[in-house]
Amino acid sequence: MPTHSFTLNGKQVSVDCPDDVRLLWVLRDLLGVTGPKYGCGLEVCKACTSHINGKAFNPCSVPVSDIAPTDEITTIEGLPATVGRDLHPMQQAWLDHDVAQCGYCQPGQIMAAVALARRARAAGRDISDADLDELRNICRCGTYFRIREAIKAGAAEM
Amino acid sequence: MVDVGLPINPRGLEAQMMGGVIDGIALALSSSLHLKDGLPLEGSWDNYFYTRQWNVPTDLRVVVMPPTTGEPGGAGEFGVAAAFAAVACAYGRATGSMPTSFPINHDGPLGFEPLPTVPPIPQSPTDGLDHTF
Repeated sequence: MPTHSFTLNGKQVSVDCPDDVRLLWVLRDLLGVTGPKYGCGLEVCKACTSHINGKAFNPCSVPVSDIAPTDEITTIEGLPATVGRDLHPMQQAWLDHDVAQCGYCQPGQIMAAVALARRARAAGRDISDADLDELRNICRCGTYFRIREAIKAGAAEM
Repeated sequence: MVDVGLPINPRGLEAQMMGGVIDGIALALSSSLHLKDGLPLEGSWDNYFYTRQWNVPTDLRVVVMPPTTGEPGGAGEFGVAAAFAAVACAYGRATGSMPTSFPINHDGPLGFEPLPTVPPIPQSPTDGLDHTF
């Protein structure tokens, strides 16, 4: 069985599993990191959104063999440590705005939001409605409006 | 504006009404299942066309009425019907033809390629790293 190694939330980890196992199942079932949620397995619902080397991606659609030992994977569990706080500003904004209803999609929403905010920041501008309109993350409770408010507030604190 | 008698958690109630508005938009315009031989052709959230971020009103305010009775009346999916009707009327005004069946996009050409309904089950995509942001 091949061994796969990468950095997960700041720690180097190794797993033995076939090459074609999608990273989401490596994270959830083999490593017990359940922040990234399983919604579709088709890269459309975005509930599993996490970061690879600081960029948003969907581990449901990445074979573990595509991950290099030097790659840094960050899930919602590891997000606060990226800023050295108990909660990332985007998570605090989520609480301040009472965003979550059932909560299932929210880890993915927050990880996508952080990536979006970083991208806008790198381009030297504030998050716009056009940026927010690019988010594909499904929220079946329909919390979208508060998500928009929270992202703008969270991005301003990043 | 919503009157539920005695609101227990006004912020939660606001959110519930917002969710109802989002559902109403989906049900009026785009979100449905097409049944063939007893099976839905829709195989994912993408196919179902539920409201996504780009369909959301950028200004959405919910007014929770102060208590009008001493008892909570319940809220449930209170927000759905009125939002559904408002979207349908807005569509009618904007296009000059009042829709009479819903969702409005249901009878148009399918907006997706149906997934197979017999084995093998399609495997998850492998191109996730091509879509980072």
